[in-house]
Amino acid sequence: MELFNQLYMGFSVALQPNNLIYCFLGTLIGTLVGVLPGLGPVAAMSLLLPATFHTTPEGSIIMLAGIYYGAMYGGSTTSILMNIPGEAASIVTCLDGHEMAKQGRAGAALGIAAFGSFIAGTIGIIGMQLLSVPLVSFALKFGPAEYCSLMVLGMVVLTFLASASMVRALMMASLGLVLGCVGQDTVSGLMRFTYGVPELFDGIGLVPVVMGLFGISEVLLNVERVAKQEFLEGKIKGLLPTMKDWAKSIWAIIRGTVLGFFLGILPGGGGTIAAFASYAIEKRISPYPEKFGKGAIEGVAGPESANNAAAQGAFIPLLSLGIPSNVVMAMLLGALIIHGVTPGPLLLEQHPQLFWGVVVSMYVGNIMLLILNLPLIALWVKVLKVPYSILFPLILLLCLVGAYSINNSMADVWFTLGFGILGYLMKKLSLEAAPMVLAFVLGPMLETALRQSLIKSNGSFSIFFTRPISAAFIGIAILLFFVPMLPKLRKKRPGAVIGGDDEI
Amino acid sequence: MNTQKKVVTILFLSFMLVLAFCSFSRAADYPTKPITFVIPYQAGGFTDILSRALAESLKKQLGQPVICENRAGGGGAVGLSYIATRQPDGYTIGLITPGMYLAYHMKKSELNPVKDLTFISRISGGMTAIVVRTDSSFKTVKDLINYAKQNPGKITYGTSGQGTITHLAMEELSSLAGGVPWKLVPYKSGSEAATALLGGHVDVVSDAPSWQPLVDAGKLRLLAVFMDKRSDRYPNVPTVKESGYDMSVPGPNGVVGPKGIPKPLVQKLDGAYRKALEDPEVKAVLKQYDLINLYLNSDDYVKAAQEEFDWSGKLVRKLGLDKQ
Repeated sequence: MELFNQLYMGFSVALQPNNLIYCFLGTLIGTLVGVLPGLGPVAAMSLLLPATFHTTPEGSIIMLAGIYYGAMYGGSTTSILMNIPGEAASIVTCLDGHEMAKQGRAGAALGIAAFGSFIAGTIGIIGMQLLSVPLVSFALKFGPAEYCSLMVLGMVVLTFLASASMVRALMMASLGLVLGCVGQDTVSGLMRFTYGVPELFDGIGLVPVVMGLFGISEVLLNVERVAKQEFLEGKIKGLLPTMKDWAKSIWAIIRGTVLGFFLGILPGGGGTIAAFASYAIEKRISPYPEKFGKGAIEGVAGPESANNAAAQGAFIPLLSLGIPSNVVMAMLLGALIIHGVTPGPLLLEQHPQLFWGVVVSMYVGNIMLLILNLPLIALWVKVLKVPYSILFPLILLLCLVGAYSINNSMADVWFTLGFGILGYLMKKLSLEAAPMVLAFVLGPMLETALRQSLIKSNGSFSIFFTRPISAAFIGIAILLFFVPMLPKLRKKRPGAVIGGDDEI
Repeated sequence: MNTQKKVVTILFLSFMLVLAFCSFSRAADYPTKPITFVIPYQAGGFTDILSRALAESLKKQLGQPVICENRAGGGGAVGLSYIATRQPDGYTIGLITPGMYLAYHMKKSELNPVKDLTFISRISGGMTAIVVRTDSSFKTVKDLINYAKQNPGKITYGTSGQGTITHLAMEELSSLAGGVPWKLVPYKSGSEAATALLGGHVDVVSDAPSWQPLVDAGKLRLLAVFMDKRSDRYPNVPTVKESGYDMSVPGPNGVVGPKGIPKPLVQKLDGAYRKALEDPEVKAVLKQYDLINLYLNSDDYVKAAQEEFDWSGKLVRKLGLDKQ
């Protein structure tokens, strides 16, 4: 009964005309911003943040939140159509989504991404409502040792991403680790590899790296091919996913949702890692792993659901503890404080209408996004028919402007270009970018967590095994690492690459 | 002279007179186009919100928009080095925080704030404090320090990084107390440190002001504040000085610009910022974040900045943090 009262209160706030308008504006802007490569929800929110000072707290949060999860919907569009990640979390969607587009199945890819995002978003909101309290207390138990073990597990999962040669994948992962070292080290405060360049103090940005590695390199490769008029070889086969697609994807969506939601709650976790993990897991348990990277729809459904669920999960630490788990949440925190609302345990007591109004508006927002995105699929698919000679300068322009917009800095533009060239060379040498990116993201987190743990344990490694959650993660990691190498299991899975007895 | 020549001469002389007046009244004309205010931090943080509120007030006073630009990175180094390289025409200014003096002394940044910047107005000071969980057995700073001394290596404290002002504050406190064997666990941000404290992974946090929502909710408790005076928002919490250790870390932030902005422009901006601090919207922001109005005009600010610079330098050298 309590739940219905709360929902009723929420609906009475969310369905007010001006809040509905804010919701629509937010989701619309979010979708646009998600579609444009490089320009992320952070940039859009920081531009609109001052405007929200003069509105009600409910209205401003509804709009800003709409931008955030709207961007997660839009991010898949450019990933699928042009192999450019609209968001860092959409990198993995590029891998199979773009292949599907090349096969004329862009509509199905976009459709399943939209539906997957909707299902994940909705389940995520329900999770937020019902499970906030227990999840938060679980998340609080995550200390440095747990994070470190989770990252170790992530590194093992990374190996699942290898499509061809394991050796090459590990080489790329090592490169990713080295690149991740650039910047100021959290624990010692020392600057590494920065050469006095202030823009490198916080490390190389993830967005320039992925835009370059995936987007720009793709453009460079395509331009090299002998005059192709159209981007798309075959016909466009249908605009929506078929029943078969649904049958394959539904479990991927559910798995991705659960995984993403959980990872989103962890402060410091996020959509990117969730998407990668979902992709790797889908590939690992799929009966035909060799199809991944060539247009397997699970490779789009899982990660897209994961990143939307993570976006929902990320709200939980903010709303229940007042602790932002990423930059976007930090901005929402600022917006709340400026309205005199202190998020945290008191939020529910002092401002129940704000809390429930925002939660319900997320339902409304997700529905709006689905209605917005589905008809647009037909439009987006037409984009692929534009002659490439017109399309590619536009893509380059969008990428470079997007790179600049991250922090009003030319340095990001240079990085994007540099990584674009690197990505081009890598593709020529059949070196995969996905393991590199995941190592780039996980590496610094692993190192910091490792050293924090050792500070606390006075140098003893036993801390990872005596703490139950940490020990569980390490156990799973060991299992995942060694079990597939058992001779019995090796023969059964021709497509997955384990152990790699192939030449370089 | 014929009539035509007379007319031309008069016109020419009038033109010269107008030009002459133009150059005298340049300061009075300023600003004639929008001013860019660089915030060296991400949007949404308290530096960002405060800067935007100040910008609104300045717009009302000066009649030109003040556009806020976030250039985050390096703990403020990216934005500040950008400011330092701009034209000193008064159209690019920005915010400086105490971390930047430390960064110079710790050899992390080449920017010497005192030499490379023009100081316009000092604005406010942030809340640095010592925080523990509500159920912790420590009731005063002395409790904490005594326990730490009796149990070396057991107490851990979290900060938003190695070499930040909050880290240095704890180390200074330690040296005043005769050397306290507690361990620093650096985190990437204040929020991470506060979460860790809540989860019991560290015992104490010294940071500003990521703990605010949790203290208000009763999950965390303030032991002492590092300011000169007690906080308005938490009047029951003693200062570190009152707790028996003679130190304070006011941590003031202020408005700066590239070196060499002409004096009249600086004074105009300075006056505007002084008035801005009286603006009710700005005051509301200060109140929300528990910031203290630490306004100083530009001449006084230059002196205060030099003192802050020297103090930071002494502290960094004493703690041996200048060796890389």
